[in-house]
Amino acid sequence: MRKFLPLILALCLLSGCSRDNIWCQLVLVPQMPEGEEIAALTIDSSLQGNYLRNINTLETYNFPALVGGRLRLTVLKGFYAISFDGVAELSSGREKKVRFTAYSTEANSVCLVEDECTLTLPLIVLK
Amino acid sequence: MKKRLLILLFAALPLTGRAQDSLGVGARTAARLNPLSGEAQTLLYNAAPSFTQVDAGYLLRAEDQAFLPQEGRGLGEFFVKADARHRLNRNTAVSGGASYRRGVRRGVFMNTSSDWELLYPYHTADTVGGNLQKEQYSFNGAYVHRMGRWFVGGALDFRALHEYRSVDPRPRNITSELNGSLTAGLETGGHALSARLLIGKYHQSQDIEFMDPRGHNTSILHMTGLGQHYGRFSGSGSSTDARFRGLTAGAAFCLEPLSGEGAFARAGYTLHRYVRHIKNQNEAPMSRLYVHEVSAVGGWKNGRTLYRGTVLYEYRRGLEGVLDVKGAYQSLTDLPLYGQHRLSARADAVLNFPGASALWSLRPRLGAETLQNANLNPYRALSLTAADAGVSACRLSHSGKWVFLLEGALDGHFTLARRLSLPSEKTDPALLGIYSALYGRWADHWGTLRLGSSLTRELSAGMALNVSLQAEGRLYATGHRMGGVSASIGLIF
Repeated sequence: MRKFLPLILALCLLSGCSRDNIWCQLVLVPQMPEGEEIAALTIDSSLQGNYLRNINTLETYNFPALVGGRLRLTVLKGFYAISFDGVAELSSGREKKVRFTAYSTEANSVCLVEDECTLTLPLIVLK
Repeated sequence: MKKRLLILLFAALPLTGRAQDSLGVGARTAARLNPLSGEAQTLLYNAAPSFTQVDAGYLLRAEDQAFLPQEGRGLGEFFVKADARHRLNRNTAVSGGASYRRGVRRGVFMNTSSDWELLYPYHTADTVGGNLQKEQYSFNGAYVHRMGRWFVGGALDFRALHEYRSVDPRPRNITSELNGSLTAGLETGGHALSARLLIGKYHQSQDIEFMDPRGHNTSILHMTGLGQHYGRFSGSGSSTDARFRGLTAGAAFCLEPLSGEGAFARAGYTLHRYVRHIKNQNEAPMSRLYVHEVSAVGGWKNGRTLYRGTVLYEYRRGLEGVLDVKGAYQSLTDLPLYGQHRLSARADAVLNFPGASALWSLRPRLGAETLQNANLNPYRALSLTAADAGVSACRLSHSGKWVFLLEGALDGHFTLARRLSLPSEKTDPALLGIYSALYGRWADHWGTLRLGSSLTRELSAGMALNVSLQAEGRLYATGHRMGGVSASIGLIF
């Protein structure tokens, strides 16, 4: 079998075989500057300034609800621009306006081409 | 223009006058027009006698609404072509051809690329459309030689196409395609068994300009599957210029009777790969299309009849590149987002009835086709099952210096099932409307009537004049219509 491996690989390359998983299981972990626990995060996906957008296809995704301190969603593999303003409800019961812009443009977009990706999102607290 | 015609004529002239056939040009023409001739894949076993033919003509086709808008709803084309096939001696045969075509494809819509049928779904498009001027040259040649029981051969085929539009949006597409094949075979047991290797190269360079000082009237879209497009490089700037690079490789096996009577079979596999690059973005490999084709043909024939079955399977697999954002525009990975399976099966027959003054021929045919087409993100799907049936009849007569062929054909195409899923989610409403209407037509049924005639008059022992006329009309169940005519005049040597 081993001696046929180069032939199989060559045929695979020629015929366009590739991994068939086109999806990335994405986990977003928003993080407060002081490390406070976030109980809920409200992001209005309908606002133009709030986006999770595939750079190549320009497809946008809605932000899911925060569950267990994480936002989980399935996205097409690719480069993503992520930016949002939201309201974080802390476990202490206080609410704070927060912002995330680290991946806001094409030039600093994040590459998500693995089957599973976890991103930590350091939030900025707005006055 | 005069120079081009001379080139075509000179390409054909070396083959004239070398024929080993002793028949006059009228008898050779009648033999070649016999519906049973031309089935042989290897030149040596082709029963039709040698000939050279040079034609000039005009082709006109028009639809009231395009069935395939990407190909246009009309075509007007002048052509001049030369074809020749000659048996130089008992063991050697050659063929050659050249053609020049100049015309206009009218009403091309949702497509600015050439060769849409080769490249889809990865072509460029705009929502304005218009006429495309076209100019095409093609040359081909083949040679086969027998040494004892063995024979070897080769063939080359070249095509150059230039298409452009002189109003916005202004694509200018320059295409070249070169295909070659090598054949080796053995005569054994009354049959010739041969193997053929194919290789080819394709290139299309596409530039799109906007020159109206009032501004750009549309955006150019890099289409993906079923009406989707690659949004990052859409627009009207330099990132809309594309380059398509293609490679073809394949193999085929063929079994055919030496005497021209008996069983025959062919089977082959061909792989085409087309990569779409963005020219002005460091040749970014935006998408790759792999087209796998498997074909099998089997049948039996004798001097009066031919029965044939054909099965074709095609799998188009499209991969879209995840292009980086750091300026190098390399593809980090390719995502298999598009697939199309197409399977067709066909049976046909040729039944010749020689009469005292003419040969009558009937060609019944029956076929079925199924197509499954899907784009995975956002999910879109199209499936289609269709059947067709038809019959042709022709009358061929050779009397004195005249050879006259009259033929008619009637075909029906019936769409048995069609399922289309184009959810509005994540789709531009304008594109959704266009593609819903476009694929809506695919559920249509239609009938086609073709009539043709060919009149040949011997001018001397070695030369004849040929005039051909063809007309075609198609009526769709939805009331749409298509019509076409072509006329040509030529010399046969």
